[in-house]
Amino acid sequence: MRLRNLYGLMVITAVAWLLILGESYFFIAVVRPLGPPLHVADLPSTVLKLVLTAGLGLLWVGVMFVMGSLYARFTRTPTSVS
Amino acid sequence: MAFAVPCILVFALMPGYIRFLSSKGRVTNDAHKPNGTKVPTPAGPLLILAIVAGEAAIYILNESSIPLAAIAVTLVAGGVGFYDDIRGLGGIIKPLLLTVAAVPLILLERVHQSLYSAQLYFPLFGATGTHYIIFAVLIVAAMPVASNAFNMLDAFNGEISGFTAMVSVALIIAVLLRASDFASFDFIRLAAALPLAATALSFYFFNRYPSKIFDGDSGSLVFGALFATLAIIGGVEIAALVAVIPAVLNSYFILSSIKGFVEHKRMAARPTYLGEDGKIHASEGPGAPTTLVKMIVAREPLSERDLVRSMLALTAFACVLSVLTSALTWFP
Repeated sequence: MRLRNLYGLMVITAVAWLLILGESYFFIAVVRPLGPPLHVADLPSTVLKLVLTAGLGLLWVGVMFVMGSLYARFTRTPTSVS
Repeated sequence: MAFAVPCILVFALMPGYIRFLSSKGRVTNDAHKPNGTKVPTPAGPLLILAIVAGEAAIYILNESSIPLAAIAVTLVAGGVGFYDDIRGLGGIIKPLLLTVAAVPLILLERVHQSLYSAQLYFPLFGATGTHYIIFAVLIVAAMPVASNAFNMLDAFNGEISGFTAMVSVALIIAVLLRASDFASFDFIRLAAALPLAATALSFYFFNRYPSKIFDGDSGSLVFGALFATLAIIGGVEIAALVAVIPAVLNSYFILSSIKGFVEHKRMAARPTYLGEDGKIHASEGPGAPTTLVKMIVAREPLSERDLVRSMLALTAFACVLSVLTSALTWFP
């Protein structure tokens, strides 16, 4: 086993982890104070919170897509679109 | 007891069970060996028995609903997996059936109010509010996602058993760190996590290269569903998520490359193939999905043994991040 083969995937894993930490901060510090708890909040506040939370999920997916594409380019991983 | 019972059962019964499966012709091709090597499958029913026995031992000693929840989830996910092993299930129907595994967990919470805490604890920044309905929805979603993530990782000798054993240890450490921060923590939550680690670890000795038996979907789906359940019961969802990042990435790369839910046995092309040099190569054909394993061998073909070691090394890295996450959550 050669560990250097894993460096790229370790970077992707670390970025995925850092995103979870960073998005946690955004969720707790920005999204959560936008209004009262969902079960007592009005509709606009609830929708805004849900949209922003979904946006955090999409951001994670988007960054992983970019990281996966970069990895494939640098290692010449055959992809289904190539 | 929670650790010893599953270990004893797996080591005592597995050799006879392997002979039983072989005598009944329940064998399958090992796709990454030359000469059409046949391997008995599925080990799932015996793994389910070992986990249920371990959880039952905890219940007999404590009469808590926590092991009951683990047993119920194991039986439901195991039932779905066993049906898939025998008859086969589609790429859509299997995740839908696996949502049923969440039902006993949610129902038992109605009876035993402190089965789980309906909030997420984030590292450094604190916890969300308590939301029973949203949390129940998340549990329903978590069952098929976790089970299928584990299932998609089940392709090479010792991969799923080694992966499950490692992430289970990370889960136990996460629960242990949480327990040390809460004076009133119920240690049955910690005990309930032991049978999964014990079963996966002892199964690894039969499943590692060269495999004497495969777990089948009945094994991998149970591993995934039970891991999610124990993370929820232990209140360590974020640390558990970090530990299984390799499985999450693998599922994400597969789904994004094939653009949909397709049962892996029915994929148009395999992501890797066995070369004439006896090593695993990345497939170059169109329609071959991108998997984590394919990404590992893209730079250089590897023997199956080295490939699984690489995969487990990546898992170990994720487990270290998971422990760090736990430390940042409970001791910021």
